[in-house]
Amino acid sequence: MIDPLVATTIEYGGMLSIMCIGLTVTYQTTKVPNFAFADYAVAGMLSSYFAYVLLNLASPYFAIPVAFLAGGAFSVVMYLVVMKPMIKRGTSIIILMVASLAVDIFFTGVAADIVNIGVVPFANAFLHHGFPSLVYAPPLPDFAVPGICASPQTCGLLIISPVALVITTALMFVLLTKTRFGIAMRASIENPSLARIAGINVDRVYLVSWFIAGGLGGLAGCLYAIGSGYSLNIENVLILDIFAGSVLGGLSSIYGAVIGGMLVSFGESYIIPQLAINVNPQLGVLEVGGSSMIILIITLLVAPRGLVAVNWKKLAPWRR
Amino acid sequence: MGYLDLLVLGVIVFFTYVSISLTLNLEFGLTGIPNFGKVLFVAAGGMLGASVMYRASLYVYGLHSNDIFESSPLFSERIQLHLANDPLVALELAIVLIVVGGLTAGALGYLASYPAIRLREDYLGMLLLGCGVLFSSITAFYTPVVGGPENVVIPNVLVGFGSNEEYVIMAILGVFAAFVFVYSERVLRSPLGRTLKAVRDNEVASSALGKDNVNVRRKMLVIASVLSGVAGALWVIYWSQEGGLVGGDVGGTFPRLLYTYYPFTIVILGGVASNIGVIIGAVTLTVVYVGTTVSLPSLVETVRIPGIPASLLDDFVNSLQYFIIGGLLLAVLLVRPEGLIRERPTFTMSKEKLRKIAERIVGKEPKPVVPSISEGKQ
Repeated sequence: MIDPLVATTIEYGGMLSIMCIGLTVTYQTTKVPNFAFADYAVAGMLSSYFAYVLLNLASPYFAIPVAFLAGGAFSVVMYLVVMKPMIKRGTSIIILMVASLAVDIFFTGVAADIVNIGVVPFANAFLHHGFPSLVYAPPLPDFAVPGICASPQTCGLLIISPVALVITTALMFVLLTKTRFGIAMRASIENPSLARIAGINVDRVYLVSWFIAGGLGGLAGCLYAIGSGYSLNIENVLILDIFAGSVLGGLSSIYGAVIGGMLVSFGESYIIPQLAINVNPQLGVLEVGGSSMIILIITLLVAPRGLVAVNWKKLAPWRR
Repeated sequence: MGYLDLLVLGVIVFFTYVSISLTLNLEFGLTGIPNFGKVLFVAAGGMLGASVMYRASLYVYGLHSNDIFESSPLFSERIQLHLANDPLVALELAIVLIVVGGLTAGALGYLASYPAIRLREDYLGMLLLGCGVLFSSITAFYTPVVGGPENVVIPNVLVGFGSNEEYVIMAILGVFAAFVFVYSERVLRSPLGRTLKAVRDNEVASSALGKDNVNVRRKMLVIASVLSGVAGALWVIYWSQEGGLVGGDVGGTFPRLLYTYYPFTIVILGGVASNIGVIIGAVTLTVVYVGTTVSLPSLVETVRIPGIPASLLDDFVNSLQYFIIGGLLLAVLLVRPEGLIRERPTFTMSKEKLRKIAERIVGKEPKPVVPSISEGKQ
């Protein structure tokens, strides 16, 4: 039996780390902290709900490809329509941040209006599928794993989430180090002009990177829908955790993002509930963004370039 | 809701947004500080000011309780009965609210500026965002600020004005907005304004010219924080007059969307570093905001579409604002990135004075000098 808090930490840490990897990739390519990243996850969540109901899937995990495509498509559209023209024009980073914020606000409206009003009543009336109102949608049914955690019916995520993280990290490792595309991608990140001279189509590399990043967001969104369900404006809370995890990781390496996401999840899903139980129940409010913001602020003040940039050897006093 | 009420509400929202966005324009438009934590300073002014004012009013009228915030509806009602006959005390309480609000926000601005100002701009934006979210989290659980999760009724200091109270707070907000506008215009046209633009556009050049970048930025952050704190305090006066609750419930009285993202929308919509632009942007945003949150829902109440439950329709109308505002912001950024009003070089003196000086220097043929300055082609 695993302690439920530890189980939540692992489940949430897995998906959060995947999202942090995605944000790190978008930051690496365009150097913009992307406020709209959590919206890719929301696109993944919503599409997995629809795929699960409309395609009569046996398990919501089969909706992962759909969620990946939805997140990736959203990300590509945002890159092509908003980011690329603005970057070409030489817009400053802050304005690009505001642009991603605008996409975020816009998508909040799209998610709330189109989905709730356009799709849900339509689907209920004509397709006879019981869509919940998507202001809050209950978690998608998980598969049962007896004997590991407290509630065996919803235990599948405890296995799938870390496995998905490991597979994602491994695939990213292979992609970045063993394939021609990965080498082109690293070259375009390191020095775009030189990469262009060497004959790399930097625009296309960025486009594919954004697709992968958005897809990872969508994938994590599908896992989130299985773990906690969808509620309106969830992206406003999610984005804080994603920022905190990525910044803690240093916004420069996907391995840092994995560590950062796990640590943020540990703080939010383990330390804060423990404090709420043992010290003061009101501290539980910090779960919603507060704890991750503490991590973000401390990171930016102490080691603004993240955990990966810290010279650990220098810090260890026994190694002189 | 009658048209007059709607108009008054619109004007009040407009004045509040004008003052907050003008301070954001000072920070972001002129100095280049990406203050994604604007909500921190507005909320700090409003909530901490309200907290101190409430305690002061309890002290004045000698009310005691173990949990002063739990009994706030009762206490506030009693205090308001007193205040109706005590205009002087009411005035003092209002001054306490505003001054404390401004000072605490300024102090927080100073604190936040200390480590933050040295970071790179995108990291600085994220840090300020973090501070803003953390503040709302802290007020949400730490009861001594404004009662933590439970919302609090703050006594209405305008109770002595009777039915005119809405107009009084409207006038106060208007005077404050006008003050901030005049101040921003003066800054824009002063040597300080040009220093700020230099710091924003080219840090290396400005420090080579002997400007202390860090100090300049800190100064602007503190000034803008004080002003936005006062705006927050004034909004609390309006809010308590409406009978609204002030609370630390996450995103309760001061949600991040309304007090950080919408001011950014206003500044970008109108044109960065343009005060007139801010006013145009604020008008647009007020129309959209009041239209979608107040007037459309009351229209929709009478409309019933078969097959669609009423609550869904309400949600639809309420979230129309994200749609419109996000779309507007995107359209401006993509189609006209400089905003509605383009930034121009500003002059410390009037054009007439400049012409006279040019005449004195060049003689009677000032043409080669003047047009190149006055048209701003550099």
